[in-house]
Amino acid sequence: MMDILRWTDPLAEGNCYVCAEGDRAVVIDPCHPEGPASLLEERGLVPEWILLTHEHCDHMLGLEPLRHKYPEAIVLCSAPCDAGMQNKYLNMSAMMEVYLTFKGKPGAHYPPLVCSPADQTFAEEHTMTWRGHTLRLTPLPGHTPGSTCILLDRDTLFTGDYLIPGEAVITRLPGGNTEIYERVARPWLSALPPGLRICPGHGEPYALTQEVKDTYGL
Amino acid sequence: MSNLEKYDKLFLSSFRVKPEDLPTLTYRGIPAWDSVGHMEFMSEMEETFKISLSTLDVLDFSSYEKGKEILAKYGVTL
Repeated sequence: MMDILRWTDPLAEGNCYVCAEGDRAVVIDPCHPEGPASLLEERGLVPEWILLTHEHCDHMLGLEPLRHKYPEAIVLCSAPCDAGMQNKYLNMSAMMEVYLTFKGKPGAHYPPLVCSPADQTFAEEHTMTWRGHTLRLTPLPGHTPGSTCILLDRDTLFTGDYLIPGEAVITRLPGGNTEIYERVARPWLSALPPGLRICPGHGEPYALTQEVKDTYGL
Repeated sequence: MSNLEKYDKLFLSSFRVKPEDLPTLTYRGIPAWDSVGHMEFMSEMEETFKISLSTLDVLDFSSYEKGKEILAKYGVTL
């Protein structure tokens, strides 16, 4: 039976999810240099895969420390996410202190960063099996070029910065594109079945309902 | 292209305003120049002039005219 654990960065409020099966794990969005690693250690878990929903730094700030601690873990993300996380503007770290100030958290120290390339990338929808589970990674550009939703076993969807409770999709940050969102991501999100468990990149997980979809115009 | 032309072009393309609007353009003075627009705009400013603005200067960049003063601190003369 898989456990899905969540660790939330108190500063940028990003969620890291740890999908645990036995003593092995898949980490989605290591959002903090210490938090996700501490969670893994506390639970005695060893990550085999690190997946990213997109390239923004509040979703991968802990990627390099986690790679250092667990060098066998394979980093997998979309090709545009891979390119974006290596660029301080596209990964937003160049403006993160400004962003946090706008979010009411002035004075935070958040220096620009870049990550080294992913171990594996995909350009089209990518399906992987892991310890009896299926993970389907679907590129959904719009919020960023590298945005991806990750469907676990057909019932749980990790959405990154899509379907965040109470927040409209932002497509105006560096690399974002409203036209591509409308053409690619929005139709895919519109087709999601009610009942799906949504694990967003920020905020609490919830069950998708038609009412929720309506609030997003889906 | 001169620095002033590059500077003006950034405003014109980012916010889709007219050249005659530039002298009075201010942060939050138009819908496109909100906090989200500001972050993308400042990223483009840094890339265009190959500078790295401090967080305080990004936050202080509150108008077309104020921006000129701030860029001057980084050796960008307009």
